[in-house]
Amino acid sequence: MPPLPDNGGPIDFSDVTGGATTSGETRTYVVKKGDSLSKIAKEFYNDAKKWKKIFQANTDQIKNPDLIRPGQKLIIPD
Amino acid sequence: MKSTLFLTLFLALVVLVAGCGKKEEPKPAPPVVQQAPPPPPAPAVSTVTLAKGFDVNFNAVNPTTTFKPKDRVVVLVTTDNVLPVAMLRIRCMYVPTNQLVRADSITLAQTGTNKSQFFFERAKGLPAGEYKLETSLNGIAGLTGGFTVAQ
Repeated sequence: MPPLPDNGGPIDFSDVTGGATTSGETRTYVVKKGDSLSKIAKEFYNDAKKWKKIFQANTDQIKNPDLIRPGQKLIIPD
Repeated sequence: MKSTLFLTLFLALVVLVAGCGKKEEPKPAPPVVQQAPPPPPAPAVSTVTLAKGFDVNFNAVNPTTTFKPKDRVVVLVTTDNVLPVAMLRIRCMYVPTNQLVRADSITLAQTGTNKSQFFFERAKGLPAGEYKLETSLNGIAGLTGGFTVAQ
């Protein structure tokens, strides 16, 4: 159950996560532990099936789409 | 004595005739005022759209202003007349306690129109209530928006 502002006191928003991207830049993403290409595709394109698009843009560093390593910096094509 | 008088009158007449005959010099033409070219249109935030997602063209998917606590809140911002490089900032405030929820910024490097997206979410759920969004471009306040988180 999410916290409710029932007491009007301050709420800890430090655990709010987010990000930003724009059409005018080359987007990149640094792989975190537990990531997969489909998970990243879901985040950026709202469609996990578009993982191939990311894979194809990063074939220089990804040989097996099921194997990505934390710390890899991936190009996220538009 | 008489000749002096005649000479004086003659000279006076000469001076008078010379004065009358003097042509008026044409007035100089007024200076041509070079009109400065109109200033380029100022960069501005032209739209702020809230949605649950966005597509590859930065168009809203499932646009809404009401979210559930665990939804991802996506804010799509269109900016016009941008000259590189511009800084787009967004702030989200929780209205009931006037607290900052999240602030993000992004550098716009593309001349003209840019589409940007900001997203935020909270794993344990955003508290219910009203939220306010403020945008600014190069430090100048832009459009604002708002949304509701409901159970």
